[in-house]
Amino acid sequence: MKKKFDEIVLIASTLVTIILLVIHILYGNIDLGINNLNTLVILPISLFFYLLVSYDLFIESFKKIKKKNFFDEVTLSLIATIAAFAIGEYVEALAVVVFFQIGEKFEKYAVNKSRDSIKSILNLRPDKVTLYNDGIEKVIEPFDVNIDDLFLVKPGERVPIDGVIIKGESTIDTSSMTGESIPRFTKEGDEIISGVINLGSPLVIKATREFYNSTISKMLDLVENASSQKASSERFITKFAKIYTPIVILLAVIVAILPPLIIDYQDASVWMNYIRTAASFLVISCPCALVLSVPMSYFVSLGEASKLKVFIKGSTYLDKLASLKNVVLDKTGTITKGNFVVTSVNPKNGINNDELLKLAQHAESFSNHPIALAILKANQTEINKDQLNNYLEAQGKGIKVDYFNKTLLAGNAKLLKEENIDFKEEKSPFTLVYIAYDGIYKGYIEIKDEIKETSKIAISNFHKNGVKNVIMLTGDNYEIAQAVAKEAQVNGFYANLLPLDKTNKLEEIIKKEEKGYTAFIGDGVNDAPSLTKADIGISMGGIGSDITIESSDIVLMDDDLNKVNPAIKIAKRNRIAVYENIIFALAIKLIVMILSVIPNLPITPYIMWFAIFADVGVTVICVLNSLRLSIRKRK
Amino acid sequence: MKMTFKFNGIDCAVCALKLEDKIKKLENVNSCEINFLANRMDIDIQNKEDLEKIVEICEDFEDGVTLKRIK
Repeated sequence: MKKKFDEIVLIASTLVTIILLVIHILYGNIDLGINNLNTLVILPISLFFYLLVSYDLFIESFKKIKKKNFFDEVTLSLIATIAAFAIGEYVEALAVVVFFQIGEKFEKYAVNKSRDSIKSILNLRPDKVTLYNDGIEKVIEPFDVNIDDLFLVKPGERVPIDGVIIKGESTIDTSSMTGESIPRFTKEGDEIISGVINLGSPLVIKATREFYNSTISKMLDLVENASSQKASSERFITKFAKIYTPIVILLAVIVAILPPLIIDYQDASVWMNYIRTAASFLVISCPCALVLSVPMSYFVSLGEASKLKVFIKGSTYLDKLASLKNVVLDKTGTITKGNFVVTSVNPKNGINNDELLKLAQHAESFSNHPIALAILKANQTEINKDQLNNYLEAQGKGIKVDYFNKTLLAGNAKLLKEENIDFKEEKSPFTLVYIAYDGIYKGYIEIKDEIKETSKIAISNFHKNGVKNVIMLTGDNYEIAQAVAKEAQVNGFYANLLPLDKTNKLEEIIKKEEKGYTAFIGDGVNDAPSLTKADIGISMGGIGSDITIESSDIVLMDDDLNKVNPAIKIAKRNRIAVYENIIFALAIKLIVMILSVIPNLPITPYIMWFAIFADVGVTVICVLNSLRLSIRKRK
Repeated sequence: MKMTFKFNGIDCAVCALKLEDKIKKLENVNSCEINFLANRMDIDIQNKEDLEKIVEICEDFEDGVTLKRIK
C-alpha cells in the first residue's frame, strides 16, 4: 500500500513540478498587489508537495544524524532545499527532492537489471544441502556441511559440494561445468564435482571438501570476488569518492559566506545569489554517478563474459584483456586436440609391427602422458608388469625402464642419443617415439595430433582484435612445431622446450614486448607456472582441479580457444564505457560548478536546474551507459 | 582469518563504500572489501572475536541489514 501511494505521490509531484516551472517562467513576476504569484500560488503548492515527497527523506536524515553521519547525500540535499526555500526558489526546492527520489528509484531498477546479467551464474550457488548421515534426511546450509558428511542429491538437483559417491549410480549433466554436452554415467566410488546436475536416480555422496573449497564456490569466487583485483579505474573512483564530498561541502560553505562579505555584506541580493550557488554545490556533492556506474560496467561485463563460459578473475584482468598485445600458446591441447593417434609403426632390425608395439606398450604402461595413452590404445596386448623394473620418466624426453632385466627405451631422439644408441633420426611432421631395447634400435612409432577447427579462426580473430604476436610453445621437435605453426598461422614458435623452458621463454617474450600485455593460454595442470608468470594466464578445460582456478586469471570452461575473442571485445567495450562515464560525469559537474560561481549569467536564475541535472541526470546517463554493455551485439 | 558474507539491505553504492571504510578503520581488521553489486563482503580479521563488532556495525549502519556467512 505504502509503496503504491509513494509512487502516485512521486508521479503527481513530478507533474506539479513541471507545471509550476512553466507558470513560474511565464507569470512568476506578475504583480498581484502586495504579493506576487510566486508567494501566493507557487509557494503553498510547492511546499505541500515538497513535504509529501521529502517526508521519508527527513526521517532517514534524522536517523543518520543521530548516528553522527552528517555528510550523507540525503541530508545534504535537504539542506540545499531549505536554502532554496529561503531564497524564494520554491519550485527548485521541490524539484530537488522529486528528482532525488526518481534517481533512487532508477538506481534500484538499474542495480537489479545489472544483477540479471550475472544471475544465471549465481543461480549455480546452492542454498541448501540434504544431509544424509545415519540415513536421516536433514536440510541444512551448505556452509555447515563438514568433510566426510554424507549428503543426498536427488534427481534434478545440482551437486552442492565436491565428494565421492558412496551409494547409487546415475547419469550426470556436466555441461555447466565442463561444456561437455553429453551426459556422463557415474557410479559408486566415482569422484563428483559440485555444479553438475544429477539426471537419473538419487546419489549418496560423501563430502571430500568444505562447501567454500568446492569447485562451484571457487568458480563463483572468480566472478564475484575480485577483491584486491580491482581495476585501477575502480580504485580511482573509490579514492575520489572519499575526498569529493568533503571538498564540495567546504566549497559550498566558502561560496556562501566569503563573496558576500567581500562584495557587500549589507546587500541581501548578494547573499541570495551566493546562497543559491552554495545550494547548487550541495546538490552536486554526491559522487553517485561514478561510484555506481563504474563498478557496474565491470560487473555487467564480467557477467556477460561468464555467460560465454569465460570466467574472469576480477576487473583488473578485464582491463588487461582490453590492451592485449601478445598471445603465447601451448601447442598440445590448446591449438591441437590433444587426442593422439598412432598413424604408423616402423619396425627396424628384424622385428615385426606387433613386436615393436609390444615393446612400446610395455615402456609406456605406467605413464599417463597423452602419447603413452595413444600407444596403449593402438592394439590390445597383454602387459606383463612383473617384468618391468627401475622405471624412470625423463620429462620431455621419454621413458627408461628395465624389461626382462634389459634396458628398454621409448622416447624422442634426445633420449636415444643420450643413451648412445645407433639409429637414424627421421624427418616427420608428426610426433615420433623411438624404441630401443638392450642397446639396439628397434624402430619408431609415428603419432599424430590434429589441430582443432576453432584454433585457426581464433588465431586470425586475435589479430583482428589488436593482438600483434601469436607465439606457440611446444616440447615437440622442430618439424612438428613447424607443421602446426604453418597450419594454425601463428607468427612464431619455439620448439624442443622442456616444461621449465616454456616458462623461461614466456618471460623472455614478456620482457621483449614491453608495450601491452601478454597472455599465456594453456591447460591448467601442466602449465601452472607459465599461467602464473603471464600478465594474463588463461586456462582451457580442466575445470575441477584446484591448480587450474588458482593459477589462472581467466578460465575457459570449454575447449574453444576462440572464446577469448568475444571476451576481448567485451573488455574493450567496457573500457570505453568506463572512460566515457568518468569523463562525462566529472566534466558536467565541474562545468555546472563553474557556471554557478559566475554571477549574473543569463542562466543564473535557473542554475539549480543545471545542478539537478549534474546530479541525477548524469547518474542516469552513466548508469544507462553501463547497462548498455549487457546488450550483446548481434552478428 | 578470512571470511566471506552475503549481505542484504544495503541499497546504495556510496553507502556500501562508507560501510567498508568504517569497518576498515576498526582495530584488528586487516582488510574489508564490499562488492555492492554482488551483495558480498570479504573480510580478513585477526581473531574470531572481532567479528561481533563488525556484525554490530553492519546491523547498526542501516535498518534491516543482514549478514550470512558463506565462507
